[in-house]
Amino acid sequence: MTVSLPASLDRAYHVAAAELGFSSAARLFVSETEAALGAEGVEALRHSLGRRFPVLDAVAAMALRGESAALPDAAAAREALEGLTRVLVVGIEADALDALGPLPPRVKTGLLMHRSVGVVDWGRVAANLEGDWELVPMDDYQRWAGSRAGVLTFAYGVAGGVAHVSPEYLRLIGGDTRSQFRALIAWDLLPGGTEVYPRWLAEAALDLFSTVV
Amino acid sequence: MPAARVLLPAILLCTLVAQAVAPRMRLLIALSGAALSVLASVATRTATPGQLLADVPYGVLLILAGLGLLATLMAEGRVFGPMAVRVARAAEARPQRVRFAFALAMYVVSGLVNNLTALVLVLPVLLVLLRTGDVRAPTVRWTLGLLLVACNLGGAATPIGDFPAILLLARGSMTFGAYLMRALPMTAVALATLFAVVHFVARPERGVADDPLARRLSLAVVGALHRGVRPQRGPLVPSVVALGAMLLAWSFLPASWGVSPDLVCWIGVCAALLARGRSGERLLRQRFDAEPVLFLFALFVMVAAVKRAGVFEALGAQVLALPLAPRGRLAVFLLSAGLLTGIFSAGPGMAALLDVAEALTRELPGPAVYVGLALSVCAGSSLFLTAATSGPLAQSLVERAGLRDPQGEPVRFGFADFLPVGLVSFVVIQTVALAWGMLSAG
Repeated sequence: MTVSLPASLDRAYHVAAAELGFSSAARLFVSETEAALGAEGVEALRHSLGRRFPVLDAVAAMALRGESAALPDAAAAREALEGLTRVLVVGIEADALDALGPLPPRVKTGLLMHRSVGVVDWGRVAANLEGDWELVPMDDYQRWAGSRAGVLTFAYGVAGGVAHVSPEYLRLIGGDTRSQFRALIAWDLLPGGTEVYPRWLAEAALDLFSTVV
Repeated sequence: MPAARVLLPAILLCTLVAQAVAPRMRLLIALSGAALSVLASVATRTATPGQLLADVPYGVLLILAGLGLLATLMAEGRVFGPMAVRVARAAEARPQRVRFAFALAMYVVSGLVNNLTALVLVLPVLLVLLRTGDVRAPTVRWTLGLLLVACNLGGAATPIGDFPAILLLARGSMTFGAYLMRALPMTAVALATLFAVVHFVARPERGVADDPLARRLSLAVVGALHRGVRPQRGPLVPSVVALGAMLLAWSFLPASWGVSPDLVCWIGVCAALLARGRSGERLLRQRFDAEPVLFLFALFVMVAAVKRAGVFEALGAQVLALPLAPRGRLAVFLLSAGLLTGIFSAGPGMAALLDVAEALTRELPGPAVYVGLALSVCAGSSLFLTAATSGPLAQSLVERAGLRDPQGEPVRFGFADFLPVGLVSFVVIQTVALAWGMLSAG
């Protein structure tokens, strides 16, 4: 392997993953590396960061297999959210939230201000989203509960009765919380799952969700 | 009165030293020092509290508060983030170009709005570039250092950029146009000289190879992090229109009309906030930063007490009695002003020295003294990281960002890291101030 990658790659991906999400940052890094260095560059990227960042590893592997990393399809997620008047999103995935677009005006949307990956400029995250998004502190989430309220989070592979999700979801969903929301939705952005140990992610039993899309 | 001539300057000096030593307590220290000054003035029969409060130049405080509110309104308009992204793209994430482009942008912005607000909104974009790029410690230090110095120079370039120039405008020492025409070119010369010194002498990127992929990824991340951030016309339009109208009024309203610079600011800011309706009211109630106004109020009270004791008059007479030609006296004064500001920061430096400067204008042209003083205060503000308010703020933002070099070692931006930048900047700006003073003194 003769391709030389920047020493800052690890930190740069970490910065991007904290505020864009693992999947969105991976798509960005793979496409930029491919455009600059071709498949050899993507191979080097995978070799260099894959073990440390499993979602990046999976997205790079898809690119090397010639499977284009298409934008997340939001139709199923929108369908799962139908009938809700309050939606609390847990975790950040820029591409998925952009694809989701603004929900109908009667639906109140909030983003849980909790991230276990790195420093996040929450004001900037909210400013990027279409529609009116409220930033919700962890100690205020119960205000969002109700019979027509739902929680939406992102999964990175579903298999063997578990989904891999960002740890924030487990911070939120305790036994007391589950019964307070009508819908608990996991939006799987990496259907094939990760090939290496899912560092940074947490296993959530599928019975912690009402719907997986 | 002789006791007052010792006691009141001593209180002022002790307060200035204490706030410089403990900047986190500076507001409380300054207000306590001011209260003590008033008490000492009463005890020594120098002045009554009413007389000292009447001496405070409220117009200066009004302009300071008004421009701060206008800057906050502009910040709500989300104009600085997209601007910083454009600057980063124009610089192609090349370290040298990033440094010059961001410094130039902050120089321009700081001339028009409160540089603290602008810095808080522009710095995050620059920090993303530095966090995601292959940058070494010297690049980080010279880039952030030059950015802070450019803020100081921008603040000194216009009569509304920073406190020292606002003071000259509000006290009627110089008109808007007269100050702008002289200070703008001088600060531009200083900034250009600094660029040249950093590029050809300091050379922070010496021996570092360019990595196109690192730059490409940095720009891609910056772009993605701001992909949907758009300027908001609601808050932006009233703030820009009001600022434009205020600039025109300051420049062209005849003095004979009696519409003072502080009244122009007062009306302009109220109009901008009224245009925002309830949002304007909310901004005024919840986001008004009282700290700089209270800090300067306290300084003005202490300076008024010292002035009532006749100390500045005596100091001015001593400067005028120096066995030097008038231009020599000006040189000594300007250099002292720069060094004192380095220790005590710009607000106290300017507030205390302006009365001495007035004494010098008896034998030298006003613009030579006042613009020279504003430039010297700017030089002093750039000497140490703690001399300007933006320094500690930048330091805390950088610490929070957790910058690391390519080897993974933490990159710090503290007092000692800034010192080389500060020394170079002080020498360059102070030299320009002295050159201005000597050449324009006739």
